[in-house]
Parts: sequence; structure tokens; C-alpha cells
Amino acid sequence: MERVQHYVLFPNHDNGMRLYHELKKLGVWAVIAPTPRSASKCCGISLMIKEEDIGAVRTCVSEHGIEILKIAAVEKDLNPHRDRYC
Amino acid sequence: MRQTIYFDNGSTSWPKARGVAGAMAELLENGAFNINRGNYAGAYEVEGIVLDTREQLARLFGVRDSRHVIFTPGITYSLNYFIKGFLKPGDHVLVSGLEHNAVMRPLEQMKGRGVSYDIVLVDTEGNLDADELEGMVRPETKAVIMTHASNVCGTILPIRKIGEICRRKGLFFAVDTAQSAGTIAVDMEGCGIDFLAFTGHKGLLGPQGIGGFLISGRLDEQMEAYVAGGTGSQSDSLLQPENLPDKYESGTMNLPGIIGLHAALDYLEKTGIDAVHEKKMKLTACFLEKLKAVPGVRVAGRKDTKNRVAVVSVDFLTVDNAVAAFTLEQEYGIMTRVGLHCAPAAHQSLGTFPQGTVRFAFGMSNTEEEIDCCIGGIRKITGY
Repeated sequence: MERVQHYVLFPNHDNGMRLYHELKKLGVWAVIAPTPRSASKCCGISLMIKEEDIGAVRTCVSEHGIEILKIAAVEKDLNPHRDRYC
Repeated sequence: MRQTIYFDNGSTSWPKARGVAGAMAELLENGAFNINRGNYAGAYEVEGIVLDTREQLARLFGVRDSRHVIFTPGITYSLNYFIKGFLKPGDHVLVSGLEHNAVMRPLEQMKGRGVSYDIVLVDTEGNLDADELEGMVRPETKAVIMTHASNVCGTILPIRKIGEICRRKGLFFAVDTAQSAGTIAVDMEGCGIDFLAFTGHKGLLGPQGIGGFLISGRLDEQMEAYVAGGTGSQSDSLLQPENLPDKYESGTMNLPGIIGLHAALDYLEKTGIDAVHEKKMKLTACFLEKLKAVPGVRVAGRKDTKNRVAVVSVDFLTVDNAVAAFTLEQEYGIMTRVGLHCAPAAHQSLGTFPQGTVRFAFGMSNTEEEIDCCIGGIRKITGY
């Protein structure tokens, strides 16, 4: 099982929806999800993608002029330092 | 049941396009989730329809990037966004002599903030001379704001020619499409328009409470967000986002309105706006032709079907226009709009101020039989 999950982060929802629809048309796996707080303090949506699709995603972003912030790799493991007072 | 005839499509179209009410009810009953906020599949589904609606509007108005399509509560709000978000003290603006108060009142407010304007007069048919407009451009002129088609007499203004002048003179060009959108083609980029304001509830056959604008890149660089607030994006910052469409779309949007508009645009895409215009102009031709034979009334503006939309203003010469409209409604069930149509400047241009006119605005669902009934009513009222 992969230890990291890759997320595409956006400046707003609109660009996220645009990329999601374009990736669907291409048959590239993507799931809309809330932006992990560890990846960005900015609220909003991100797209979970597979590592092997990163190249195709970047090409799609470029071809359609979609604005993204970055593609982030987030550890799937629970962070032991989080919620340490619970 | 009493017969009714609806000739007030200039105020709002009715009936709405097939599918509008159903789509809105479906949303409200099965999941009116909030987009740009809710993080679940239902919200993303609604967000997808909103995106699709932007694409429809971009296609309709000849714009390549649908991120430049902005939703507002209506065209009056859209025009206020431009007038108050763009114009600065010292700026000068040119407007046509046919403008609605949605343009004139915000401009009057802006006079108190150092903005000035001049009116380019039109002739008694509502025609505007583009050369005259060009001659009125001053060094401090920043923009031209103009209706595409008059809401009083229906005359279409030469926006392509004005757009060329604006480009040549380095001006920004704002167009009010309240009476033309969904009826005649508007090519925003081809006409050099920087700001195209639209409403969803007239020719686009959608519900009330939804409208918007399309903005050029060069204008967006200079226009401020007149309304600021939560967008669901970049929430860590206290500054208004600069990305489109978020920059101009603060607060929860009118999602039932957008979903209804989406259904209406589906209908228009299938029907074709050329077919819509042809049908409306056929009715207009029929009305104008039959009205010619009725003494005691005069048509304000053009008397033919050239260069116009299906809005006809009639001045009753022997009876108060309000009495005429009341009688048409009471005795014949004919719904019109009487008065100044929120456009006193236009009525002054057309020579129908302050008495106003009775306005007949035809829609896709009207028939020649309804026009015959109306002409009969007008004959009775005028005594001819």
C-alpha cells in the first residue's frame, strides 16, 4: 500500500472542478476531496490523484490553462504529534 | 377561466423555458447543497452544473474562457459592479440617450465622487450616430456604457462599430444586454466589449434573481471587487482573492437561480436564438402592420422591424396611457407595462416624457391570434 497520497491543490473551487472534468474525459483517476490541512492552510477542494498520473495531470493543467497551486504528497500515516492532548 | 395574454416580456419573460421550474424544484427538494463550501459529493455535483452554466454563457456570448463569466443577483447589480468598481474620480463616461436607470442612477451617484458623464443623443427612432459619439470623447473619457437594445422602443444600437471606436481610442466598453440576450447574437470578443452585463430572467427565459457579467482580461486587471467577502477559497487570507470568478462572487450564490438558468440555456441551445428572434419578429411585424390602421395611437421609435427587438412602445393620443393599459388588462386580460419603464432618459429622447407609453413586448409563446385580440382592444379604447 502506498504511504503517500498525491493531491492537486487549487486557488479556488472553480479550477478544481475544471481539472476534475477534464481528467474524467481523459479517463484519469481523480477524486475531489477537502484540501488536507497539512498540505495547505487555505480551505477548498483538491484532487486526489495517483502518483503514476502526475505527468498526465500536469499536461492537462497546461493544455487547459487551469490554475493550480501545487501537487502535494501527503503522508497517509497518522501524525503522532497531532491532537496530542486528546 | 379568464383568458390572459402576456405581453410584458420586456419586464420578465413568461412562461419560462420548459424544464426551468422542474430543475429548480429538483435541487431544492433533493439537495440544495452549498458550492465552494460543502465538501461532499452532493455539493460537487451542484458545482459541476454551475461550471456547465458558465460554459453555456461563454458559448452564448462568444468568450473563450468561462472563468470570465461572473454570476450576480441581476443585471442592475452587474452594472453597479462596473460603474462603482471601475470608475475613479476624474473619469468621464459616455452613454447613449436610451439608457435605463440601472445605468443612469449609479452614474448620478458617482457624480458625487467626481465622475462625470455625457449623453450621446439618439434620433426619434432611437438611432445613434457612432461618429457623433467619437467626437464627444475627451482626454479623460474612460468608458462607454451602452444598452444593446432599448427597453422602450426596441432599437438595436451599433455595438460593433462603437466597440471599434473604443479600441481605437483606448476606452473600455460596457454593454447592457437586458433586452437582447437570448434574442440576438452578441459576440463579446468580436465586438470589442470589455464588460457584458446580462440578466437571466428576460430573453434567456430563466428565473428572476440571477444575472451576471462577462469581463475582459484587460478590464479585470483594473476593476476592483465592489463586493468583498467569503468565497470558500484562500480563506486563510483577509484579502479578496484575485482569481476569477471568485474575485467578484462573494457570499453564497443563488444556486436555484443558476440551476434554473442552466435549464433555460439548454432550451435555448436546442431551439436556437435565431429561431427565437425570427418568431418574435414575426409577431412584431404583425402587430406593427395592424396598428398602422388604427388612428389615435403612435409608435415611439421605429415603425418597422429593421434593427430592433420585439419591444414596441405605443402612445395613446386620446386617452391616458395608464387608463389604456388598465382597460386592456381589465377587459381583455392583456398584460403590458405602462409608464416610463425605468428609463426617463430614453423617453426624453423619444419624445414620450413624461406621459410614457404602453409597452408591448412579445415572447416565444405568443400567437398572432393574441395580437388580433390586442388590436381589437386598442381599437375599442381609442374609439376607432
